[in-house]
Amino acid sequence: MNNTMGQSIIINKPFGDATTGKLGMWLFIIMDGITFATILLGGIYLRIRSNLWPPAGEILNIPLTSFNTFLLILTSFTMAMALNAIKKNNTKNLNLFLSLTVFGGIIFLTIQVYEYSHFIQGNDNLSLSLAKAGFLGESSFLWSTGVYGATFYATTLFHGLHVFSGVIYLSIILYQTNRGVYSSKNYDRIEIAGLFWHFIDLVWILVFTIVYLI
Amino acid sequence: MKKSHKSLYITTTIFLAIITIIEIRISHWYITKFYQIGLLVSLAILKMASVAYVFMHLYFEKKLLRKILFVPIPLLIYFLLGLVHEAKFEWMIQ
Repeated sequence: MNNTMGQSIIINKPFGDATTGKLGMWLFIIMDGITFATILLGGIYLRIRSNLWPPAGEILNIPLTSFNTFLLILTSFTMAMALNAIKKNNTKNLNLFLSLTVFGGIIFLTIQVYEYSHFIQGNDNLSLSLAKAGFLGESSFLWSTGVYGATFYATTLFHGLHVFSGVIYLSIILYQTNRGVYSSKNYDRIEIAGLFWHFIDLVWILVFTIVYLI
Repeated sequence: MKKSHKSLYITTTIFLAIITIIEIRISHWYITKFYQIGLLVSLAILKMASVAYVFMHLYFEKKLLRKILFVPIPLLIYFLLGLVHEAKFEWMIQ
């Protein structure tokens, strides 16, 4: 590039073509990632110190949560395809893939609410599992069910709130898509929203492993 | 026209699904807790790296951004080692 004096100027772009918004989202992801890491590490510490920690699958429903994991992986794929579509100026596919992503997020939340309601309402099978795990006399699995219950709800609820905000965020993007805001030359906001959604998937991978499988 | 990564996304999605199935299988294996945790955490890190590199396009970003993103990781590992040291590995060898 030349300046007004005709001298050549070398523009230093340390982050390449990444926009300010995108860098801002990356910064947010770093900070949010540290928050998640603190919650997970706090949970690990409490687990180390606790005498009462049921083995994987004793209380928590692994098949149901595994389905949720596959679902979140699929929504990451549909989100990536939505960005792919707008890069080709294909707003029809953008609309389709964004809708699928939002729908996947809603199903994820519905399953999580179902899981919570099953734990809160309680039943004979759950009482039996709780007794087997050492929580004698408990009929429902609540946040007050020992350190285990507190850790489980704190971690999964914090993640669930992220999914909820992600669904709202993507719904707004979907609304703007329907109003013709985005094109192959203007899709930065979709990419930024996608980063947030993929981050939710990324964190769930760790939450699923630490809370449900280990 | 911008480059499409459709086949890469499909491959990554299938890869993530397969690794998830392997993880679920490992959680049912009767092996020492230490090895089970090691395997599960390694696979989770592999999955997270795949999501970050492919879906979040970290692979296509400038090196400086990648370096900045990896700064907190050594600090977290240091903290985790501290926790494990405090527990003296007792819970892992049950």
